[in-house]
Amino acid sequence: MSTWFVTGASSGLGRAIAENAVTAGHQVVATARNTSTLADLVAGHPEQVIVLPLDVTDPGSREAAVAEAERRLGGIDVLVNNAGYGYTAAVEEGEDDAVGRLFATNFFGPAALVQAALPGMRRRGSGTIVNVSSVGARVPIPGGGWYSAAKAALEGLSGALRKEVEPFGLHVVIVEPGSFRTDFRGRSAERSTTTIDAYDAVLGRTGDAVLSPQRGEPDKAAAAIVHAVDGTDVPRLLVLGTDALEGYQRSAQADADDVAAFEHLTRSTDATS
Amino acid sequence: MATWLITGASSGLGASLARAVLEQGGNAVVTARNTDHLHDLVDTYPDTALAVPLEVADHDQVTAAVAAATERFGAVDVLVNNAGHGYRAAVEEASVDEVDELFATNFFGAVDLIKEVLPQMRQRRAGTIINVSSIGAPRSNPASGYYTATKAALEGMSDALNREVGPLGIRVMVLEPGAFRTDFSGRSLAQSERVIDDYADTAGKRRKENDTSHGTQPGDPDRAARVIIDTVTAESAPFRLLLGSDAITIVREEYQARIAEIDAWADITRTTDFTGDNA
Repeated sequence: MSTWFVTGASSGLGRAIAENAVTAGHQVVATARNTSTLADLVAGHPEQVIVLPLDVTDPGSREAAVAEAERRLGGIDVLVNNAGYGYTAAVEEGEDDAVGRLFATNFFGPAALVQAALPGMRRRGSGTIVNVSSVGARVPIPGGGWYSAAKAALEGLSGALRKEVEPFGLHVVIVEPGSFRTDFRGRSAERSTTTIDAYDAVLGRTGDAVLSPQRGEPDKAAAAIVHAVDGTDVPRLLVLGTDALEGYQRSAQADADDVAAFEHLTRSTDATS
Repeated sequence: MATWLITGASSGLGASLARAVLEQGGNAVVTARNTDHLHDLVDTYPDTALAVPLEVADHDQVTAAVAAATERFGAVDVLVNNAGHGYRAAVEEASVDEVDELFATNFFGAVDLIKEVLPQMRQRRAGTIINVSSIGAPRSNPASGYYTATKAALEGMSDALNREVGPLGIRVMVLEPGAFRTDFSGRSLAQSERVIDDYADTAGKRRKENDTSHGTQPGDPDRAARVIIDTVTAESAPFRLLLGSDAITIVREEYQARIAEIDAWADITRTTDFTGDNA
């Protein structure tokens, strides 16, 4: 049994992770800005679940939540940075305030929580950090540049972090979900108020854009994450959903093809060639 | 002749690129926080070089630089976001102020310049935006987490941007240089004030006082500059261009490791789709 600290646990994937961790017998610190939807979870499992308010962008709120979790449950074994939301805008349409909030929630907040959780994990010589990214970090789409940037940043940070903390016995897992049937396209999606006509077509703002139904089931994604973290062989990258897998493989192949196609140019810049 | 606006042009790859553009007869708007080192270039090419002071994190200076370039040469045809610097810190060691400054220079400043040149490029249905990333974007080393984060952010943004402005006649490229013989590991490298002893054998080994790679890097910035110019004028160019043989080795290892990891977990990956009536 370990203690899981889950951000953005009020709905979607975060809620499902909290539930699956409980089912697996773990203690769960379920955190969210608004904790009202978590009352049933704690009522159903009062011995296993505590609920704490947390705004990941607020330093005081982060420190209080981590301190409270450590005080009441002895330490955080698994930190799940799940809180985050989407922002749709052409790069040129991005607004400074909105982009600032996006990065605060999707990148700087998670990084700061990692910093807050690490001293305890280092001291105990065990722990796992799960950073929930998106396949959009790898396969950006028009209108998704800012979101992709924040998620790619989180993945880049995670790569170095893993190499820094593995010697202490800690794990770092990047989770890349594809499209899941959560609130992501609803409450968790923000759009720029600025729009530039030139981008209407490429962003699908002309006519009635039809989104394909999300293929991913959040509960199964959560089960996969709990299974992976609980196992002996913890992955450094966990892609979730057939759509994400296919997108990732296509993108990796295209990247590899480009490297090969322009290899002669790449090699021509060596001082000795 | 095309007009290039190059940030961070006072040294390293930016300086090599500026010189090469001018040698080939192009116009170059060369910018840097401190323009002292740019005067020689302007003296040599008084008709085609323009030096402009530019701190890319300062929005007013970004606006002024693009306005000055456009007034002098009529347009910015090629924007090269080259300004940037390294930052060494274990993830746990970094301070908010240090990281904010890094992102302001390496990411937000670059995007600010892009937003500033895009209206005129869209109007002309032409233009090239080159964002200088790093081989450190696909492969992050200890102590380079935040630096990698800025460069990965720049690449993620660029990829979407490329798809947004491609239909409007504008090309976006990302450069991933390996190690080049520039000042990167010297003057332009920052690091955290805070040091945590536990990281001595990982991040600590890459702090400035312990890093011995400076001066022995394999890449030649002058050769890279010529490749960049050739690529901009070429019919076909990749979205992402690696520079230096070391970059190829690193990126291939990284891709292979990721694919192996994904394949190993593919069975789990496939379990999360809806099935049956819910699919």
